[in-house]
Amino acid sequence: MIAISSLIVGAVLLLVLLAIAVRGWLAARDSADLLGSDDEVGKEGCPSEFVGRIFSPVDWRYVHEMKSPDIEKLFRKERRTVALVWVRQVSFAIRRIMREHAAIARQSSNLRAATELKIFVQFTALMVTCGAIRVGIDLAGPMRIGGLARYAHSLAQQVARAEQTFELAMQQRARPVQ
Amino acid sequence: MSVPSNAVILQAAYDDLLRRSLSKISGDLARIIYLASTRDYNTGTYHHDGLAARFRSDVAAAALEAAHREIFYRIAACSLEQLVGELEIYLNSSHQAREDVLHIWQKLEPYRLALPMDTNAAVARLFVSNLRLALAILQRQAQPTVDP
Repeated sequence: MIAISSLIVGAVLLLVLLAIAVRGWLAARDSADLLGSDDEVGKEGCPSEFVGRIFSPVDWRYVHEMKSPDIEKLFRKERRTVALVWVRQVSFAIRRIMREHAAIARQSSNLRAATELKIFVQFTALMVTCGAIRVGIDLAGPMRIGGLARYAHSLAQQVARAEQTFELAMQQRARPVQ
Repeated sequence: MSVPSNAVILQAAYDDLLRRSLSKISGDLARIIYLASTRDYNTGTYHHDGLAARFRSDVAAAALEAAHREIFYRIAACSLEQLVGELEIYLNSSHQAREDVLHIWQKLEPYRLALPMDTNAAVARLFVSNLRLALAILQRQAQPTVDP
């Protein structure tokens, strides 16, 4: 009896996880047409204050006080779209940084394992965080996952800075000794 | 006598633009619509005869672009409540009937043309999205309440 109920609970959990994954995938696909190409994404980074604004609960409280289901529905739809554009932008930017990093690393003869491992761990953490934000946007709404978005934003800045330092170091090593 | 640098000339043109033109326009929303209207649809370059006569046309264009970007980011950073206030100022200063402007803005979304070139996609989307919401909020406020 216990085995059957465990099986049912397991199957239900699996279905819920599957539904979340499908919603996340659909959300990512929906936001794909909102951005053009990788180039468009990379022209100008999103300033920190706007990350706070996109995920801020202040606007939601203002809308909620109006007690209008139509405005609330429109707000959720609009803010979800903006948040997904931002997540996609971060994912694009970070993948581009990693591509550039891999291209430079392939040409380098003296890589430092510790630096490479650090960059890889940051990259993986960022991609996992972006996935979690996508699911969070769908399940809870952008206004409830501001902390996670700010964390992803600061992590993306760290990865970009680490990559710049790496590029500079590679350029200096490649210069002929006078 | 030293020749002023490009940055100094640009700053002077920018200050001139703020003093003579933008300070006379009420509200940032009206200012951004005005600045976007000085941009050529085909080339994306900015033109202002008076400013170009006082400075050079390229300096005038750069000053207009800088002002456009600055005001755009200021509006995009507004809370929704502040943006509703900005939209109120714009509607009150408009010579057209309030409900007509609201209707046309909701239908044609002319504020999309107010986006500066090469802005961050998420910020641009936030700007458009917030204006859409602000319009819906004012539209709702304009509708008469029905007593139960």
